[in-house]
Amino acid sequence: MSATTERVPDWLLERLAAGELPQAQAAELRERLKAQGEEHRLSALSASNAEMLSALPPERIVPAIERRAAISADRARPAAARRLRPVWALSAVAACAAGLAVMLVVRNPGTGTKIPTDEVPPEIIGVKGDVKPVLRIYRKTASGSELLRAHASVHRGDTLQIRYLAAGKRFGVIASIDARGQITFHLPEAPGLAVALDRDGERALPHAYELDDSPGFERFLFVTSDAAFATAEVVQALKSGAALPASLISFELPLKKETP
Amino acid sequence: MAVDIETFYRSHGPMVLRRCRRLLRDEAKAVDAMHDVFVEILRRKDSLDASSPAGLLLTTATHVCLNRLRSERRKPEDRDDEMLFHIAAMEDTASAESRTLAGRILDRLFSGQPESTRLIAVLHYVDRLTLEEVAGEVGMSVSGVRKRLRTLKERLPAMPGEA
Repeated sequence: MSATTERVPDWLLERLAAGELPQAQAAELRERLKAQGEEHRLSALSASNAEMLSALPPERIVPAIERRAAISADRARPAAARRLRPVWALSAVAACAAGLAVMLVVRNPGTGTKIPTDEVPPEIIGVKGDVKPVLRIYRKTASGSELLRAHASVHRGDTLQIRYLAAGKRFGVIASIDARGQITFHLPEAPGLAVALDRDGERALPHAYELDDSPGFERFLFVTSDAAFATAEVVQALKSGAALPASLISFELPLKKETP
Repeated sequence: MAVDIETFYRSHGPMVLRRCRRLLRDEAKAVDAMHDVFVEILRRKDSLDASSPAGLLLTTATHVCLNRLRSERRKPEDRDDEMLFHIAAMEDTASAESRTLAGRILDRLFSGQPESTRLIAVLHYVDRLTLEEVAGEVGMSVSGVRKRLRTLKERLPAMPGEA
């Protein structure tokens, strides 16, 4: 290949336009462009830059890059952060029953209301009126399950079943953090993107969880939106208490962990 | 190095996208790869050498695209495309680097170690840089570049007019 007759490679043209080439090489390339009648390629780059930034504006692309970077960082975290052990799966019968029961409208169970086991779904929350996304956590008992209210006391070994009511929201993330700052993802079960929710009726996650012995508290967060978002946004809110973007709706349910 | 990703994107995003388009030949894949290039920059911001950001981004984009091409199943569109597929599929034996871990090549790039043979091959055989130009881009001697390419030549399709 002859340096004087070959077309200036796009790679070098980009480097030339960026002003990163040594002076002598830059001068030689400009001579080649001139000799080949291709000086317009440099001005074409400027036009191309403007066109691309208009089509893919920084206001849209940069947040997407940052989200992807945060997801990448989350994925690099050790799996040891997962502390709540799944212990039993919701039966298919129960899942189907919960889905069908969305058409019913019943009263909200009160404090300490006994509910059936997860083999028979608990009372279903109606979706009429101004219903907001809600997280409900049930503790398995000898005779069935009990609904846990905010700040309810829980203990190591308690088995918890998480259920949610999306109230029409399309995407959601459920995660929790303990007093040590350890975060556990429940929905999805690993960092990534928010999952598509069952948009109506109260739905159970496929697994229940057994609490470990970490002291203090376990704070659950259910974040929903009509648009896709990354679990990283929830991580930031859990870790720093930072406000979530306005497009996200959150429901928080803290539980108090008592030593046995 | 402090990285203001918005400033970086405004100044170099279009260049990165052009590079990804050139190598991947698919707009959606190119845009997706461009995102990954800037993610790599963010991930490695503490070890970046900011002296020539365009060169760094072009190199990163090339590696990101080569890694994607390794898993592509489409038929090459022309000779350059075919060459890229061959280069992308190569083990970088000259540096005894395992290509099964795509990130290692970027680890090396960002740690200032010698450039990969795959990049050298792309610059010479696909981008048509002369040996001297390639040597200048990767910071090696011409004889070093020639030696690297010699080890690959028998595994690549013949290039017209190539000595």
